[in-house]
Amino acid sequence: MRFSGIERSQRIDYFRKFDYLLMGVVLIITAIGLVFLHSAMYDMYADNGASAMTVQIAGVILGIIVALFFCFFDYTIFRNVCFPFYVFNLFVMLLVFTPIGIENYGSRSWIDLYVTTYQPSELMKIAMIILIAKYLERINENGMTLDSAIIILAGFFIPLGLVLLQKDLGMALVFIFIFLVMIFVGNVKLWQIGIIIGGGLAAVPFVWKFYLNGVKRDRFLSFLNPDKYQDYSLQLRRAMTAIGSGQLFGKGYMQGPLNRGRKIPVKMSDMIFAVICEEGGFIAGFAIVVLMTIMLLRMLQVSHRARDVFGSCIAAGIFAMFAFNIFENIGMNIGIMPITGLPLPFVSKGGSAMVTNFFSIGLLLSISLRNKKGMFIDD
Amino acid sequence: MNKLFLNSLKERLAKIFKSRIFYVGLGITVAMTAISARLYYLQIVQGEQHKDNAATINKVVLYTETPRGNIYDRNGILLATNRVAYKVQMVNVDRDQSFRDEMYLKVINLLDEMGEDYNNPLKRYIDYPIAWGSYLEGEENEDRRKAWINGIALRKSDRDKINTAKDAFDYLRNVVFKFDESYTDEEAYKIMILRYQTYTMGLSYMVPLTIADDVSSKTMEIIEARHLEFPGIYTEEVYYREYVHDETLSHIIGYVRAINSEEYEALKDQGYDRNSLIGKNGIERAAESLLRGVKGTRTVYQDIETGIVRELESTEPVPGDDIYLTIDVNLQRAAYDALVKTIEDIIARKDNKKNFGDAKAGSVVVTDVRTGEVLAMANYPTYDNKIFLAPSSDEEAQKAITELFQDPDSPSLNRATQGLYPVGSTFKTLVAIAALEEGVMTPYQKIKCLGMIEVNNRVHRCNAYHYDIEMVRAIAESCNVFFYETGIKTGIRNLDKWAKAFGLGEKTGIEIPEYAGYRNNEETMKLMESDIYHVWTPSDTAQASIGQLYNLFTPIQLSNYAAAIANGGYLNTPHLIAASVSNSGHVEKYEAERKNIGVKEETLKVVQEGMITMSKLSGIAKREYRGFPDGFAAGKTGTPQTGLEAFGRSSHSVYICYAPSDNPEIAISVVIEYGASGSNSIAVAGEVLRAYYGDTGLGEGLPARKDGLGFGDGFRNFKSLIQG
Repeated sequence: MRFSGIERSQRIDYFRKFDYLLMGVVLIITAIGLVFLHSAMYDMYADNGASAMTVQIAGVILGIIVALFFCFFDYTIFRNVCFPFYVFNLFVMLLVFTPIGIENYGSRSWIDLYVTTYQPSELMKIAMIILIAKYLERINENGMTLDSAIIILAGFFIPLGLVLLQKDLGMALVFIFIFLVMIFVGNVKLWQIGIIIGGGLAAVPFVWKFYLNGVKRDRFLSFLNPDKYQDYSLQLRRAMTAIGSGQLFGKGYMQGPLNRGRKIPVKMSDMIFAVICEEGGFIAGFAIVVLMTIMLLRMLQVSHRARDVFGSCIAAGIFAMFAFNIFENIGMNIGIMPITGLPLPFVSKGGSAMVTNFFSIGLLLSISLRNKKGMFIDD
Repeated sequence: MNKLFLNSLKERLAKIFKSRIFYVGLGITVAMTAISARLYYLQIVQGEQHKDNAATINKVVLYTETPRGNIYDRNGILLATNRVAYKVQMVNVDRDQSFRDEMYLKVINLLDEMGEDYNNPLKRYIDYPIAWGSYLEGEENEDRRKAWINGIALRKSDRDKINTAKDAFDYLRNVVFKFDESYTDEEAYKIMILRYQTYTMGLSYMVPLTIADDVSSKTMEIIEARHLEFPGIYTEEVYYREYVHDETLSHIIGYVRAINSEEYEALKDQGYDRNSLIGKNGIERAAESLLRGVKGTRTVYQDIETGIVRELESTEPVPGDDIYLTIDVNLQRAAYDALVKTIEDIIARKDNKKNFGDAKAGSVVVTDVRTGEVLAMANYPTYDNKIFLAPSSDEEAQKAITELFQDPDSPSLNRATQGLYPVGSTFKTLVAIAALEEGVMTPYQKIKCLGMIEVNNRVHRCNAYHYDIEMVRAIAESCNVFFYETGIKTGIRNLDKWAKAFGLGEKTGIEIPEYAGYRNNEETMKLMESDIYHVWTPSDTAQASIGQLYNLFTPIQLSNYAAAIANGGYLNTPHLIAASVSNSGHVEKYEAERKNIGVKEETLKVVQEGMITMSKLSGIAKREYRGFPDGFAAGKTGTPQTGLEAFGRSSHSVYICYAPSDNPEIAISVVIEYGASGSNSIAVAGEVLRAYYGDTGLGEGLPARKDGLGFGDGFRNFKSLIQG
């Protein structure tokens, strides 16, 4: 009963078919992340940095266990539990509006779990991805129907609305990007995608006027003209100075003067990339970019080779989630994207995010294990 | 084999290009390449530059003081200057704590030895000999004590152990600061004065902590000579404003005081900081931008890698410009003394009929009719502006400031420009001018004065029966009936127009704060609550024509008005600043605007003749202008009624004049509050004229003034300075 999913499929040689490349790249990134997080938080160990580092390591260990556990599950069981999973996560998301909700950096999107804090929108993304994947598959099989379309749109807009209510603009952008990539990969007709994008663009002026106003807008735009928005762009200017001063080889591990001198704001989460580049130079920064690129392309390959549209769409959704996080986080460190407060996956401080990230890797591994045979590579 | 491979490759490529995932992958690859390119640009191309930025991220701009400009009178007599003193500053220089403690003790001992004051924030909390300081002592301050103890306690459990001042002192000494045990309590307290400051405020490597604000040059020399013993401690020149003039000039000079938050917000872009001093009144305020100069800056930074403090760039301070006033201090002193003496005389002549002995304040303004230069401007009562220079810790001075602003006699008010007075009969000359200019009267037209006139069923009285009287005599004898009728003929609109043309009820444009005042007209009437439904009648015009009703003018307006009558109808802009001399020697001379009012010469001749005749006829004028030829000064008195004469308050005393009447040089206005009669003020004008012409042979029987205006050595020097 427990392994019914596997029993339905062919017998799988787990050791031979395990996606060593994906898991390997992720583990290398995580290891580099832990090393630099130690450096970034070293000066805070006296306060509560030590416990944060413990939570981070615990998150990595638990995450790896979660990933390995889920990769043996057949991801297709999520077809059946996607609704309860989705509704449960929606419920947890509503908890941030209760007294156990916590406001951080202006967004009320965390809940207090005493040991650590948890951001419900993290798992919400995956619940949304699975739900949408299921109905995209149905559209692929049965053609576009009204109920499928409504479920997909509702499945996207409800969490998006909640995230906007939490004033978490960065997360909202992640949801939007996931949704767009999924319907694109899920073979929704281009004209239909065009309608959705058109509708979205039509909403932009309203968002601009009523949602993104005042300080929020100045902060959002500060990256375009750091000199004009001096008050908001300090974080950005410091990050760019730190990155640039790292030059080719960096100042050396634990030797970054701006890191040591606590001159980089939120250096353990949003600006961790600046610490890596200051201490490890272009070499470390570029290595992270290359590793992340390999990871992302491998995710796409998993999506391409997936056995069914459901798996392919899940993989594409997870790819989109990581891709946007990574591009946005690094982009805001180097001044090509607005500052929105998205962490760098597998690197930034955050135990619960680490577990969630590994959970999505577990899903990918599960899809990868059960892929179609030999699409690009005859193995 | 090869062909098969190519075909399969083709097939695969076709499949790939059809796949949407391929385009997603292409997109992410482009995005990541963009990131890599940007990274390359930031780190490799711009790397050097960012490295420099990073090194100087701990950047601080420090200001070096510059002396404020001096203020001189027109003859180069120093009125306001600066005292040079020294500040003792300390920055962090890495030394171990026992060395620092020893150094603190030496510094405080040195300052004590030299009798210098130094900052001691600890004194509020703990005093020496060990006791609670003023802020914490006493039963009622139990809560404050608790809060302070909570603040110094390192552990919660220590809070209960500290009960007395001695406990707190010992706790600080042994637990918090860990002083060497060999120090006595007195030594430990001295060390603690500085340790407590560095402990609560921190000790920066760049921004200095001020140990003492005002030490002598001798102390400075000792500290600098022993600099090896005092690493991180240095002295810096500071300048403290000093007023070396007497109190007669306080209203003109004004004073400097700490900037307030509104001024700071408005001026922070111009180099003011929260501790800046700023001119608050008088010339100090009017010439603030000239006097203050430009502070020097030193941009220092601490190298983020080595911790070494280096200087990035610096600018030299530019001292403020010196200001030369149009005021002659000797004339000013004479005018003030005359004013005070005259007020005393008036009080002494109390008769309880017209003079109730309640004269108490007044103002005298002397201007040059040719240029508008203000030669003297004295007020009584006055105040001592030195009280504003005392540090905020000087409680006596702070009390004096509070008392000054609460004094019912308003000594802080510059009556000459801010005192608003009814002017009475001195306005009649203006009525005469208006009537002649509007052509409603001729100079020889006579009006019958039978001691009173009835207008709109109201009786308006005159001071005598003048029978048939023409304009010159009417001015000289101040005939009310003549001016009632003349005024009504001219009309209130025309009177208002000409009063405005002579600058009455208008701001004169002098550099220091002034009020405009009010003229008699319907608009002013509307401002009066009691008269809001009143309709202007000829009866009101009649009242206005003798200077009663609503009009309120300042003494500076009156002297300017007298000057305009004297100089042939030119309205000057009175001014106090003659010139400014920059640090580099550049001289800027200020000349005031003169506006031709457009009065016919014949008109002014008539009015001037009236004023000369008044001086010739008046026994008091003859007495007060003794020594001068008959009719040397042309004047007009005014006795504006307060309306309280029946209740034991005197009328005011107003007098305007100019001299010499044949070739006018100066104009004088005198106002004495409750001075009983206009002629009482002539005495002040007489004294001023004697002071002005002291060494010219005029005003015989008086000692010649050594440095009278325009003839003294000082002024010649100043003139050569301007020409050079």
